[in-house]
Amino acid sequence: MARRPYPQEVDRFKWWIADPHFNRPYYLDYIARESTCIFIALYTILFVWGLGALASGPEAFAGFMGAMQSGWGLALQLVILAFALYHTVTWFMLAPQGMKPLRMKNGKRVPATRVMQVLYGAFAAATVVTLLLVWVLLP
Amino acid sequence: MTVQNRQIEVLRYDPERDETPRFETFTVPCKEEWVVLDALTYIKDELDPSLTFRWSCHMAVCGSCGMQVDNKPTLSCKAFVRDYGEKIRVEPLANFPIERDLVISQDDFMEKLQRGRPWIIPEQKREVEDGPYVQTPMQLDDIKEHTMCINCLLCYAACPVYALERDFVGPAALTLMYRYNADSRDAGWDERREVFAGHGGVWECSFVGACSDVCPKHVEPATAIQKGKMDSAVDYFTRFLMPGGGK
Repeated sequence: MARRPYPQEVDRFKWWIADPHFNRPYYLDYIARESTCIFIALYTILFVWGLGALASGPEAFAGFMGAMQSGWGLALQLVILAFALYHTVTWFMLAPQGMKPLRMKNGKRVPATRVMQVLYGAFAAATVVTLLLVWVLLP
Repeated sequence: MTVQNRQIEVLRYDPERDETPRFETFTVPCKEEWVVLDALTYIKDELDPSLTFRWSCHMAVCGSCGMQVDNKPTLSCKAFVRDYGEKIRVEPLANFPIERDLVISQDDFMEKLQRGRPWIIPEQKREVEDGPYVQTPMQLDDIKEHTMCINCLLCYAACPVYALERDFVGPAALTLMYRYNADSRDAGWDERREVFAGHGGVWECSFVGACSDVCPKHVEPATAIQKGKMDSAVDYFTRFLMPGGGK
């Protein structure tokens, strides 16, 4: 009796809207997590544009600031901030899963919640330092 | 003891007759404590002896009875019918070729598993009279969860990377390789490097994480593979940047 295995294929473009009943929608979560990096890239482009404007002189920089402070500019930055936060938080959630076990003095593993606390702590500290710098340096 | 009729919708494929698989529905009087595997056994014993499926231990140890139950890779011996609706859909594990009915071909996995050399490759071989290779409880604890794999292949059925990239060595085989690479008694990294970190290795994984979700033994393949990426990166830089290849 000859074997005639029937191949099971998935659609190269639509696989992530398939509906496997996992405990959470892993495929959709994955696509959301990865695709939000586009907004991080977008902000990097804005940032580089700003640096370029700064290098070109006060007039160009005033133009850049004007664009950023316009209604559309603010809306764009808010949207970018929202997606960047989503991207950050979802990666923070994955971090304990991607690490070698850290050990406490008594030999027990550092719990995942502690890893997350450190990440959010560092995130908050960096935000506070940035805001302080802005407050001190702004005329 | 309550008995409730349930519709078990099974994907059937007879390689000698069918061009494509088809669904067949059986009405099965399920007892409350039954698992899906019991319902399949009832079908085979009472309704259609030609129904083909794999099973052995009936207690989530052997890893033979993995199937898609209501579109989720599941051990059918662990899937209580009472947790499902009146209609339960049972299909062979996704992503693998179907041999017949619920039986899939494991050839691809077996080949990849062997290529990974999932056994201890010691720095210096010990003879029987030298005694066993020893390890402290904490050294074991570093890799413990990754040693529990029963090769049930649910993780392959859950993995979209394996579905799209057939060269991907896949969750279970890479986890076993990591488990030995990280074992304090093992020195086999160089022998496993090409399969583990080369084309089809850990870097194909994009960390969807569904493998860890479906794993019935909490082996955490997603974690093992990310840790493997770290080892691979360290290995890359020590080999190319350090004098003498970091040796």
